[in-house]
Amino acid sequence: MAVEAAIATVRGAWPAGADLDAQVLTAAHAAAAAVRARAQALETRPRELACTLMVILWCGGHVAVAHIGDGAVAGHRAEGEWEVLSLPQESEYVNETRFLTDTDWRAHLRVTEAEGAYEGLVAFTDGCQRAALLRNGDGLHRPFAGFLDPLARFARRACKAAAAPPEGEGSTADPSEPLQGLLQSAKLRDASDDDKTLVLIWRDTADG
Amino acid sequence: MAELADEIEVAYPQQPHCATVLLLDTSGSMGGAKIAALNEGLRLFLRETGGDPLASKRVDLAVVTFGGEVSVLHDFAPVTEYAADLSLAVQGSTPMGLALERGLEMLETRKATYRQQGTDYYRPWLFLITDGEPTDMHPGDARWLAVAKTLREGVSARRFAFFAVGVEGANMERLRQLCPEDRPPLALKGLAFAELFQWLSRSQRQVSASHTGEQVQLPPVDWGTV
Repeated sequence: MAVEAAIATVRGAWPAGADLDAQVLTAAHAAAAAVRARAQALETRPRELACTLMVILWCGGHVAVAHIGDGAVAGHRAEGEWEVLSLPQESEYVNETRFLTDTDWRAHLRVTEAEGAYEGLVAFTDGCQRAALLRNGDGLHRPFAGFLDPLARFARRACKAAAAPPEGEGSTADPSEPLQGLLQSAKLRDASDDDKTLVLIWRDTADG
Repeated sequence: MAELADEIEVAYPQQPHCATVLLLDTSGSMGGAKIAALNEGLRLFLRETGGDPLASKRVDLAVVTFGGEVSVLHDFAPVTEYAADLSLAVQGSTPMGLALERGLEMLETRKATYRQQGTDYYRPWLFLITDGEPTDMHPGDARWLAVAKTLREGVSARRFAFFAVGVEGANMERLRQLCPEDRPPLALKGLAFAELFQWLSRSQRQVSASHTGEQVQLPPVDWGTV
């Protein structure tokens, strides 16, 4: 419901205009309010509906992210480089992070902006974090190409298939099935038993 | 076409770890039935924790004994690397102060190693079992003040969790002075070491299985009293 509230808020304000950072912030607030309202309706503590959240707006060469908790957003530049656009919440211990339902969530909501010629973005929750990010000795995260490059190749293939499906074939296949298979694979299950969500947002470069 | 799982690599395939240091009193007064029961309890802990699919990969155990001298019986390792017939012997006085210093230092060094390796970790545990009081430090002396401060500040800053258990004969007042107020020492009921180590195994298994955001509720203590 947090995601639905965020999307509804962004849709209501579309077209985005220049202030992407303000829009992702507004969307995050709407998500927080929706979760609290739901908790109240269920007569339970907001903590029972604890969740992390990432709201990403990508328009032209601008990306804005509102983010609370772990997980991360990585951007892939057309030249082939990856960069982390929104880092996981700083937390020493693996089973601790900040949530949208914390009383001080506003203090831990991070809004970041980036500009660049990105070909695609990859957003993922903590269940994919140990697979997708490396860490320097000082604890700073950086993207791991060994995990992300195959996702970029997959996204490009999916864009091409969507743009020009093979003749004579109606496409009934769910294009996200290979991603579902990946998240359910033994390799990723062994890496983490935390919840896994993976979102690829790709620009078909044929569009320019 | 190759599956995506075959194409991708995982940056850190290793499991997150829970560093745990057991500080075990092996001074002379622990002889006889006490050390026999402790040994049996410890072996039970190793069996039960080692039999759990997650805990066996995640619990990173070190055992330090203090009896006459302080000895790192076993440095950090999965419980499955411990000898099934592990047996502690007793001797001498109770250098608890040095043992605590050693245990605290081992935990911080282990966390630094995890950070270097990119291994995720849970809040580590320091678990003390004694039937006496320290013979190498006394309330108010330099070592006592330093150890007590490190314990209090470390627990308060959530650098580690600290548990202290007094066995029959322990100076519980001394232990209380070292422990944080919200987790006073527990007095073991008789020789209920088996129950204590079963509780410790269940607790570590719960931590090992905890997910992000879950507040780990430790099992109720039926083997000791405050």
